Amino acid sequence: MAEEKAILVDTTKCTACRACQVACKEWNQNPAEKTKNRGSYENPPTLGSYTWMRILFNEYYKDNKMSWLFTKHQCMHCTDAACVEVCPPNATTHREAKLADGTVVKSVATDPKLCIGCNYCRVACPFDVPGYNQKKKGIYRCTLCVDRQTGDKPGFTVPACVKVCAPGTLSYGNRTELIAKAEARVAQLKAAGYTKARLFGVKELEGLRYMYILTDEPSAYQLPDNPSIPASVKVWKTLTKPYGAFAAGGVLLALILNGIINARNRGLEEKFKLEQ
Amino acid sequence: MTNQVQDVKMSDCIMICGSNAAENHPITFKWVEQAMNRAEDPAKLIVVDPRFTRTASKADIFAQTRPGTDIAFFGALIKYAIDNNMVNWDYLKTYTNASFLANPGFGFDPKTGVYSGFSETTDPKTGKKKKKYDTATWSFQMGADGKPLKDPTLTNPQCVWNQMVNHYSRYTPEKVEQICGIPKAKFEEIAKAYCSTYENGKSGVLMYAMGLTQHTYGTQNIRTFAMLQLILGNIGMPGGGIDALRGCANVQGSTDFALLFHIWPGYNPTPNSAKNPTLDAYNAARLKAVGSAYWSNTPKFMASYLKAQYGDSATAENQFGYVWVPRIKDGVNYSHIALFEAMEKGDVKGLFVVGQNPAVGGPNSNQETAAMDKLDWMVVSEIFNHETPNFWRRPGADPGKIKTEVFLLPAAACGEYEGTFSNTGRVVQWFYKSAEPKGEAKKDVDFFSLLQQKLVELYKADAKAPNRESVVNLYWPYGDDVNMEAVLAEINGFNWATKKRLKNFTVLAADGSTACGNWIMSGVYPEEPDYPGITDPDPAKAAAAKASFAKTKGNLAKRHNNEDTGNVAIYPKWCWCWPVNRRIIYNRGSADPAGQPWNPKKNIEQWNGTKWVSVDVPDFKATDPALPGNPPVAPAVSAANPFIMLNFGMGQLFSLASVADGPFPEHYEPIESLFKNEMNGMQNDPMAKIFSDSPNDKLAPLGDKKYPIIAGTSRVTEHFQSGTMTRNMPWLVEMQPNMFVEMSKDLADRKGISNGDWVKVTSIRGETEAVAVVTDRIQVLEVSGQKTDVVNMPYHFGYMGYCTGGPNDISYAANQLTPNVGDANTTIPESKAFIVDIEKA
Ligand code: SF4
Ligand code: SF4
Repeated sequence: MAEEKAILVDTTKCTACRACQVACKEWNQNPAEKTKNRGSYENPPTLGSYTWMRILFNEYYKDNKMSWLFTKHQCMHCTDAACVEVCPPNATTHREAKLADGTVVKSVATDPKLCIGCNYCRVACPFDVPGYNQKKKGIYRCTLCVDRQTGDKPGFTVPACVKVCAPGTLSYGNRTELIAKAEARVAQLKAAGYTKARLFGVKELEGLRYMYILTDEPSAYQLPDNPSIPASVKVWKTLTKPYGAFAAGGVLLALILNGIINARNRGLEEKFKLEQ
Repeated sequence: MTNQVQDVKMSDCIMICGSNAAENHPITFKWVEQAMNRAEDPAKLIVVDPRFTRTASKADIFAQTRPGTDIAFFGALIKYAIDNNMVNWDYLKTYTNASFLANPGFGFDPKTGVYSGFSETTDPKTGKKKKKYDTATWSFQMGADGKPLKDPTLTNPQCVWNQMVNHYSRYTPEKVEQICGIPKAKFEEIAKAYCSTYENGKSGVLMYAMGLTQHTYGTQNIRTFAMLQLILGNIGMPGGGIDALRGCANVQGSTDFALLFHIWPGYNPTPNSAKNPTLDAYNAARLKAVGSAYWSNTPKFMASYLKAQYGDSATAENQFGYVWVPRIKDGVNYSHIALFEAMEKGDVKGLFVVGQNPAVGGPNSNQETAAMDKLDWMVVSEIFNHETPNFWRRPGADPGKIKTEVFLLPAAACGEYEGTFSNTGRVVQWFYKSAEPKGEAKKDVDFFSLLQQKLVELYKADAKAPNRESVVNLYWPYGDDVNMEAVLAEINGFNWATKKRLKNFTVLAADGSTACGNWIMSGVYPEEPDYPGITDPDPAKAAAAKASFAKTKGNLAKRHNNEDTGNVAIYPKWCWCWPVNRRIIYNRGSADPAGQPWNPKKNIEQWNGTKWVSVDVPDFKATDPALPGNPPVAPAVSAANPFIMLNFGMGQLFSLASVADGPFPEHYEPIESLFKNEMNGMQNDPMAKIFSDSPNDKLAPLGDKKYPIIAGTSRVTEHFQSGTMTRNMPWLVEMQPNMFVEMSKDLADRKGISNGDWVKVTSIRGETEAVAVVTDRIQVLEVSGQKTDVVNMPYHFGYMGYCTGGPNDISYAANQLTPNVGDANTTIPESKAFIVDIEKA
C-alpha cells in the first residue's frame, strides 16, 4: 500500500493564534462571516460552508489551577467515514490523489452537484463537522489542501494551515513518519509528568488523516473519547443505501434514519440551534 | 532586547511578566516553546500576569497578580536569591557595582517612602505641590584617583550590596501575598525555579512588554528585574538578559531613530537650551553624565550626525550646525500626553499624525480628542481612514463647533515600498517592495521629502522667517521618490569628501570630515573592502563573502544566511544587528573573569590563553587597536570594565541620578488604587508625572467606592494596536468582532451579569460598552485580606471602519477610561492599572 500523507496536531504547542484559521479562509477564498462575541474568543460559532476549520477554546479551572486547551477542529478525513457511509446519493466519497513522490493523499469530499441536502452526514459524523451553517448547496469541508499538495498550483505543497503555524503545532508529512515522531513526543511528555499524554487518530475509525497529540482525555478537547460509527448507520447502509438516491427523497425513510441514530445528537442539535 | 529573539531557545528558565507573548509576539513565542521542548534539560516557563492568557496556557507555573505590583514581587525575588545564597558571587563581585561605597548621605526611609534629598514645595500661585529630589547623595564615595571607593569583601555596610540587601529586607513573601495577591507557596515555587539560574552556566531571561512599562514606575519595574539578573549572573549570557518585546515590527527602529522627544538618533539626549548652550558643552555634559570613558567618543558621533543634517553648511565655525538645532526647554516635557495637554490649552496649533491613531490608542482619549478640537489643522497620513482624522464626528461631538481643518493623505502600505525593519532584537532587516502603491498613495518618507522641499522654498523666500537657517541649510538631496538605500548610506555614514561609505562608527571623526545619520547603525552598509569576511585568509570563506557582496552590494540588512556558527543561536550572517553586528550586548558576562565561558555549551566569548575566540562580536576590549598590530587584550582588563558604556564600566545594581525615582526601585501603588501602600509611607511614586491641566484629567481618590474594580488594557492576537488595520480586515474581525471585558465568574454573579451580556465599564474619565467574557481565567484575588476584582479590556476598538467593536453609535475605545499619568522617567502612560465600575448595559 502506498504511503499516505497526514497532518499531525501537537496541541501542547498550540497557542490558539488562529493563523491556521485565517490561512484556511485565505487559501480557499472563503468570505468572513458576520459574528458576535458570545462570551468567548471562539468564532465563528460552527464550521460551515465558509468556515472549514476553526480553533476550539476549552477552558478549565480545577484544584485552583487554570488551563486552556485548544483544538484545531475540521474534517478528520476518516478512513471509516460515517458521512460516506450514510450519504444517500453517494455525493460524499473517499478521494485519492497521487503525488509525485509516490505517496497518496486520501481525503473525503462531497460533490455539491450530487448533494441533496438531507444533512444525514451531519447527524452521523462523530466529529460534528458537516452540515452546519449552510450558506450554499452542498457540504463543504477541509480539503486537506489537495490542490496544494499535488502541485497543481505551482509553488505550494504544504497545506495552508501547516505552512503558517509558527510554533510547529502542525506538521505535514508521511503518515508513518509522523506517527513515529508523535510517539517520541508523547514519550517525552510522559517523562515530563503528563501522565495522560496520548496520540489520537492512529487507530480511531481505522485512521484519521489528522492525528492529535493530547495531554488529557479527548473529551477535554471536545473530541469523542471513542469515535465510532453507530451500528445503525451500517445497517442503514447495507439495507437502504442501494436505493438511497431514490429513497432519500421520501420523508418516511429520512425519519427512520433520524430516529435510529439520533440519540447522541439531540444535545448537539440544540447547541446548533442556539448558535444560529 | 539585550539578546536576540532566537536566543530565548538557549534559556533554562523564562519569566514572562506583563507580556502576552503568545498572542502579541507569536513568532517570538516560537523560541520560548523551543526552549521548553528541548530534549535535554528543557526550560521552565513562568508566567505572572493579572489574567490567564494564551501565553499562560503554555506555562509550567502561572501566578495571577494584582496589576501594578511588580516591584513588590521582583524585590522579593531579589531577597529570596540573597536569603538562599542563590547568587553568582564571582559575577556579582567582579562585574557589578556591588562593592562600591555609596555616599554616606544616601538612604531610604520606609516611614516616609522617599530617598535622601527629597523635598516638597507648594507653588504659591497655583497651589500645586511640587516634589523634587536633590540627587547629590545618590552617588559613590570617590577616591583620589577619581574612581569610586570599593569594599571587595562586601562587608562595609555602606557598600552597594549591603545597602541593597537592607533595602529589600522588607520584601518578604508575606508582603508579596499581601500586596500582589500571590500566595506565599506559589511565590516560593516561582522564586526557587527562577533563582536556580544563578548556577554557573544556567541562564534565565525576563520577557516583558507594556504590562511592565505602562506604569508610573515602569522604568523601575524593569530595573528591579535587571538587578536580579545581575545577582544571578544572567546578563550577557546566551539565554539570559532582559528582553523587551516591542509592540510592533519597527518600534525598535523608531526609538533607534528617536521618534521620541528626549533623544536624538542613536540615543544621544536632545540638546537642552539651558544646559547645553554649545556643542562642546553638550559633549562635556554627556561624558560627565555617563561617567564611562566610552563617551569621550560623543564629539565624533555628534559632529557626524550634524554633518548628515546640514551637509556643506555644517562647519566648525557654526559648531557643525549645532547653533541651529531645536533645543528642549529645561524642565519641559514634550512627551505624548504633554503634547495633547498643550494642544488643549491652545499652545500647539497643528498636528501631523503618521502611523498612529491617538483617538483610540492614546491615553485618556476623550482628553486627546477634546484637544484635537482646538487645533487649527491636522494632517493624517494613513492607509485606512480611521478615528483620528474623524475626531470631529466622534459620537457626542458637534462637528459644527469644530474648526480644525483636516488633511487626509493616502499612505503606501508596507510592501508597497522598500526599507528596513529593526526588530526587537536590534536586527535591521531589509524588506522589499512587492506591489505598487494604489492611486496617489505615497510612502511616508516621500511625503516628508516633498514637504521638506516646499518648506525650504518658502523659508528661502522669507528672509525674516524664524529659525530660518535650521530649515534652509538642511542636507536632504533625495528628491520626490526617495531611494531608501541612499538614505541607508547616509545612516551608515560616509566620508564627506569622497562620499565613500564608512566601515562603522569607530572611524567617525569630530572634525566634520564624516557624516553619519545614526552612529549605532554605522556598519550596516559598508563598502566592499570592509564587507565582513571578504579579507578572510580562508579562500572558501572569502569567496562566500564575495558572493554575498555581489548580492547585497554591501547592504548587510539584505543578508539571509541563517548559519548558527557556534551552535548557540547566534546567526551573525542574518541581516545585521546594531551595534556592529553584536547579537548579545554586555557579552563579557558570558565568561568568567578569567575569560572562560560559564557554560561550554553557551560559549560565545573565550580567552584561549593568547587571544579571544569569539562567536559574537565582543562588547569589551578584546584587542587594542591603539597599539601596533591590534594585539589581544588579556581577560583581566575587560573583567574590570565589562559594561563598557555604563557608569564606571559596571553592571548597575545602584543607579546614579539618571533614574529619577531612586537608585533602588521601591514599590509604590498605581496612581488610582484601591489599596494603601503597605511597603512604605508614600502612596505613589513621588516622581510620577501627573497631568492636571485638562478638565478631563480626573483621578479617582484612593479606594474610591464608586470604582471598586481594578482594570487594565491589553491586546489580542487577532487585532493590532488601535485596530486601524485589523478592524478593516474581515477575516480578523470575524474572530474578534466586539469590544469585550474579561471578568471572574464571581464578579459577574455579584453584578448579575451573564457570559456574553453587554456591560458598561466606567472610570472617572469616561465609559464604554463591552461584551462580558465571564471566565475562570481571572479569579477574585485576595489583597491585604480583601477580596479584589480585576478586569481586563482590549484597547483595539473605536468608532470607525468595518468594525467599531459593537452595534451602537458610541466609541468602543478602552482608552476613554485610562488616566493621563505617566512614568517618572519616560512619561509612558499608566494604562495597566486604574479603577472602574461595571454594570449591565
Ligand atoms: S496556527 Fe498553529 S499554533 Fe496557531 S492556532 Fe493554528 S495550530 Fe495553533
Ligand atoms: S470527520 Fe466527519 S465529515 Fe470528516 S470524514 Fe469523518 S465523518 Fe466525514
